[in-house]
Amino acid sequence: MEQADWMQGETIAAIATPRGTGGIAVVKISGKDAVAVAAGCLSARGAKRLSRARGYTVFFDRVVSPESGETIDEVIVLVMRCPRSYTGEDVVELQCHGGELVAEKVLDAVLSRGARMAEPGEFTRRAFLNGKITLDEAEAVLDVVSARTDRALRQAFLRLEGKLGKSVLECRERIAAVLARVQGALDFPDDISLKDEEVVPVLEKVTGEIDSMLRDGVLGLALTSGVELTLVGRPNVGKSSLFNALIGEDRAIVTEIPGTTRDLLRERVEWAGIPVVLVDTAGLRETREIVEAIGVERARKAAEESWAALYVVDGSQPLTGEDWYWLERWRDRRVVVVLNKSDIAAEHVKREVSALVSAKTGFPVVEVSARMGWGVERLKETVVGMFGGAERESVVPGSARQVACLRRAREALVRALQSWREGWTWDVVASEMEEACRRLDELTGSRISEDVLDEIFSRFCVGK
Amino acid sequence: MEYTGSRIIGSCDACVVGSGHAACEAALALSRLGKSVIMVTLNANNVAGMACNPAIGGPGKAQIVREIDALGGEMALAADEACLEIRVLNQSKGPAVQSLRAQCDKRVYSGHMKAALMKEGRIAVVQGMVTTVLTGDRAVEGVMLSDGRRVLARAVVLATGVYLESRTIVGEEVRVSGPMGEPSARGLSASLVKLGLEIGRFKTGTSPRVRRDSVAWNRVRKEEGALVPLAFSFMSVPRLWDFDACYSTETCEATHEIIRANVSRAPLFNGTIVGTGPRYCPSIEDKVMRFPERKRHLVFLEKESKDSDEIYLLGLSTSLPVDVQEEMLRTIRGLERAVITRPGYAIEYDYVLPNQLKPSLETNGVPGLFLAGQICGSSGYEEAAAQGLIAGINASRYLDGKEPLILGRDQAYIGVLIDDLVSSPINEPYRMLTARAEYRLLLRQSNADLRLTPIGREIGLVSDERWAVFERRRRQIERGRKLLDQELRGRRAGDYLRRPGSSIGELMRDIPELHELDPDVLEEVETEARYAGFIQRQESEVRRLERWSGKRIPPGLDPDLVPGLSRETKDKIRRYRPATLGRAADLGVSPVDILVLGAYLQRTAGRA
Repeated sequence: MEQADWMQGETIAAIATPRGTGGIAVVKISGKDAVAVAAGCLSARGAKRLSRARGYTVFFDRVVSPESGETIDEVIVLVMRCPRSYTGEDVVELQCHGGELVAEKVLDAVLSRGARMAEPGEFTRRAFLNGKITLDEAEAVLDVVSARTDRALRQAFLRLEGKLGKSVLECRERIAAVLARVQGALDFPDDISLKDEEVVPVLEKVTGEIDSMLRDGVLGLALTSGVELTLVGRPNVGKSSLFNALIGEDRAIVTEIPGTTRDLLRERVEWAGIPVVLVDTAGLRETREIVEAIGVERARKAAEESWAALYVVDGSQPLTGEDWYWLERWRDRRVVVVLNKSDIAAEHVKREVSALVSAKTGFPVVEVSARMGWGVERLKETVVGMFGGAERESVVPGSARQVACLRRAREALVRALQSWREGWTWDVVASEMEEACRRLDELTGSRISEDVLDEIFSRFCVGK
Repeated sequence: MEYTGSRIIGSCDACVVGSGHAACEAALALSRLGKSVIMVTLNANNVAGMACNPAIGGPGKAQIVREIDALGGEMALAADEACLEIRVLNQSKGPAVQSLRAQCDKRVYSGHMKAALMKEGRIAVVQGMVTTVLTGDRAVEGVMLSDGRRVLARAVVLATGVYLESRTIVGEEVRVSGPMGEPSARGLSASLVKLGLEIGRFKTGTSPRVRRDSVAWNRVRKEEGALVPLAFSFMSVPRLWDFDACYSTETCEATHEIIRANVSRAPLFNGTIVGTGPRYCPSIEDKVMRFPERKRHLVFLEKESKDSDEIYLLGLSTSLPVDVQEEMLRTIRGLERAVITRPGYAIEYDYVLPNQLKPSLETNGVPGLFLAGQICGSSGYEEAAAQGLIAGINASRYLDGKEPLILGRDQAYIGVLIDDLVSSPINEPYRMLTARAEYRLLLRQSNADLRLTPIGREIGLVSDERWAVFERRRRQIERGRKLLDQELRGRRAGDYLRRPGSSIGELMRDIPELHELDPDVLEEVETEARYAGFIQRQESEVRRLERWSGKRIPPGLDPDLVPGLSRETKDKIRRYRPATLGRAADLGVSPVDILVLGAYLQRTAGRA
């Protein structure tokens, strides 16, 4: 029998271990010239040994600089031959001493010998395309590897068992059933007449269900990748105190001096099983001081790019024009208004401010005292509530790909309904319904398209 | 091989077996491409007969007729000549599904085809029963008849319809026969099995015919034809048809009672019939038993010919015993005194599992042997004719050593039809539906010529006359597009048509040049402009899907060479040989295997 035809692609390389830390770093090279490229970086003896080595040979050698001939680092060389490797291609791993600089230099040497920097997920993509791992495995590996908390891990497994698939499948079946009605009427006009009320309510209902899956999808995304919450507000309203109170340690420097915080400060916490990245920022104000001005600009950007903002005000005073300016500017974003210093604020002031903010912006308002630790739990609950109920153990789409598929299915349904309302003909409506079905098939993986593939593999970190 | 007692009666480029819709198109295409043809048929008088109802077209089918015409086939011309009444179905449901349907005079239709065959001068018709396909070391060599006569041919197109080992069934009466009392074709199935082909069994049925003067015409509804001139062929002048050809009535509870009471005598339900029938064209007993909630079923009374005495009762397809058929009619308004001239019957027949064919319609194992029509498991005149045309074209190209013509799913309904037949499991007689064409907004009956006539011209089937007509229309359409492309009150003129309910007539005041265009051209550019957004999205969706699912799988691919494929997938690829990754996915091949396969194809693409 003929030898199976394995893919041996262009040679790629990357640092496969996390940056900066750890005792060793691994530079991984894969592709049809992996052995030659690696050999070019080793000592003359090492090069000879490598080119003769069979798969799963390990030996000790040096990586030398291609320009100067100087030794960059001592390495352990591990060679795996096609097809018996992670990617199914020839693979050479160079284990060097940990530390970013050394690993970067080894990688540079490898790249200068003709390898190309691997794109995110490229190793896994090749492994997958060579049949070394399955798509489910690929996605599960990713979810499990990057699951940051227990709850996220549980979701990753639930998804694999196909529970998400089941609810999506139900939606798909219902669209398919009315689609069959529509198509029946189009193909058998003598026998089947079509009534709008057989079709439209079903489409509306399924759209609603997808909407709620999408809302949950925000939670699902949060579970796997974490959400960013930015604390913003004018100077000296107690953002850093609140930041410390929320993370439970004195991380940010707190003083009475306005403008103490200059740069962004990030800390990872976990609320109700959801990984949250809290960002402390410089107070928002006009300033001529150049460092502070940069900090203010960063604060604004962080607030506008994060999943939600906690807009902190001094609860003992009425809101200023500046406060109203920012709240108005972020009207369409997720914002929680935090009335800090509630321990020193007069009751009637708090009540008035709170009512006014609610009425004018519609944002949730939470009173806290960062200093006393009051209201901090309620603030967490409010935020968690915005994820769609943290304690709900429903199955939610997790990956950006799945959310994107759902969203596109929803768009197609909305277009179907819209074109029906505008009086477009049934052939067009049916096409949109077909697309909705197709997008849901792509979500469950029963249909493949190249976007799906790209999406999946772009999520793998380089070197995996 | 020596055939004792046999003699050669003729030698030709291609032998076409059969004289139905597929056979006629195949023979005409071969002849028009310069090949000598011998047509062998059981009954030389029965050419392009309509054994079922006398109508051409309908959703999915009309598009096929237009495509056949655009490629230079005959069906549309025959339908136009024989037309008794024509109309547009789905008029209000959108251009993608608007479909012509014509009721035809079946005698005129058959006469037109006979004349077309005669006119060629290169088609010899032989009456007889083909029992054996003759093969040499490598390829087909001809056919042998039951009486020992032989026809030598370098290519053979089998278009035997429902005749292979056929049985007709009317109640308890089972006969070895073809439709309408014709003989059954015996022996050929066995010859095909010997060649390694796998055979299946299907059934189909017809409705009773009644005497015209026994119908109470005042008690049935008249079905109105179109009030605008229409025609199938791009070459025909559209005409108004005013022959009152079609009426309708309906069954009632009493009819259904009779069927239920006699269901034990129904061959479909008592085990007499083993072949699978088409779900899309069920018999009346099927409809009554499967949809007990329906209180009535429509029955159309179709005149079969201007000078015929017979009326076809569309919708009453049945194989119940004659006495039950008579009793049923007693209960149907307008048919109470109807006299049955020919009872409805079911017919069971052999077909060749079409996954054994290439997309060219040539059999896998026997070079030069092509199949077309119901022998491939399809149903319907239009589906048969389309395959006949493609088989004829490809038999000719085979003889010339040229690449076969294979139409894509985004190019033509014919492409969808053949792709479905050769690369998916066919569990019932295959009928075309608009729902089967995923790119139906692109595959309109109105643009079949734009899609296919240039291809037909290149192949050599489009005559100078047809080409001139096409060129004129294409120039007009291009002019129309330009006119709609100009600016009008700050917008693109064509964009005004994107509103539903708008019409190109409203633009004519501002753009008087539009008056110079023919009505069909106006309609086409109006449709293009109105649906531009949807068509564009469908096109980009096609491209999005095609990037992955459109990747072609080479017909000779050995799945064992692809690393990592599951055994199940390998079996499916061997059995159905999907032409593309998308078709493999439709077969239920797992996504992972699809990806593995896709990756394999990508990296082997450069190699021969």
